[in-house]
Amino acid sequence: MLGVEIYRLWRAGRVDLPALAGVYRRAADGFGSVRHDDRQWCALRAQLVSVLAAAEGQIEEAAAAVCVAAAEYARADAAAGADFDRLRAGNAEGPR
Amino acid sequence: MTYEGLMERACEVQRMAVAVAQAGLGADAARRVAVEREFADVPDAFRAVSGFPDPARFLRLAADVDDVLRGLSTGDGTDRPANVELARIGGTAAALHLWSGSAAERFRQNFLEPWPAFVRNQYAVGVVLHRAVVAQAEIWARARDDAGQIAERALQALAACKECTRTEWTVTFTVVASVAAVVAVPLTGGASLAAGGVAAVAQVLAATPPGEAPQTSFSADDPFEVIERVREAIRMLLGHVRERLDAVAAALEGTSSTVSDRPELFGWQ
Repeated sequence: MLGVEIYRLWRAGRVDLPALAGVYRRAADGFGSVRHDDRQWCALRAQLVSVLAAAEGQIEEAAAAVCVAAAEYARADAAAGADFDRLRAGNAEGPR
Repeated sequence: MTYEGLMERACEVQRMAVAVAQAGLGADAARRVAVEREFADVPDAFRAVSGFPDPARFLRLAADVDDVLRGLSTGDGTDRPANVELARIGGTAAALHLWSGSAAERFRQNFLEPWPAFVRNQYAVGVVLHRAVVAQAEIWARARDDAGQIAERALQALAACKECTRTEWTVTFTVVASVAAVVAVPLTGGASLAAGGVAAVAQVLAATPPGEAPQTSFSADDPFEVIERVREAIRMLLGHVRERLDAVAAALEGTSSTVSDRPELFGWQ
């Protein structure tokens, strides 16, 4: 995996997905803060707020998992790089 | 006449009805008192339509909901410009193709792939909430106008009674023809949410043609009949208001049922 690809993955988990979660959080908070005294309206609003909050939760969970995955891929790449360096050092003379 | 002046008008209707009815009674005190008693309830009859809420309050709610709704708009079949933060999800999804494992698969299958349908369906529910408060604002604005109209027509009819001719007048119940209507999000049928297409949102957004405002004719020979017709018109107005509010409540309840019955259509697992 190329470094730029790992960076893109990390950025999705660290920046893009949290931004999307923020959209849902603001929408849930926004609907939640509208004060109305109509029973049916408030019931539907409560459902929509739950839907939006659930989406926010799913996205945040995914964002955290993506960051962990990106870190693991980077570590694996570093280990692969070290292996490569070691193998290359053992064959310093090159092909005959 | 402003709606705030409705009760003053109601008292004027009462005074005029008493004056017209007493005109031919001379000095017969007992009958004069009986006439006053007959019309004593006129202000109370109008009181039933004098406490309609201020439509501006509902319009402020609509503006608040509109602000929030803009955040959920993808611009795809919606009536609000796209939120650019939502538009970036395509790039995010592309970056996530490198992410593997069961959590990644679950997120892709349960969220990313159906997300365009989820967000449209979530938006459609928001539209129903918005339309409901706009409809309520219009119902109360028209109901207030109609209440004023009943008082004005009553005064005109009472004035005509002075001339000893049978008087006829009409009241147009404009509340019945409220332009703003609200429909529940469609769960079944070609444009259903289940199909995940933009058509369902379009159906919720579609303007419903206003109903016909019924013109109800009243006629009376004397102030007693005029006031009886006024009481009748007030009862009719209350009935029409109830009917319109029930229609809004039905759309809200229908949408609530859809969300409860099919949460997966909204990404609510």
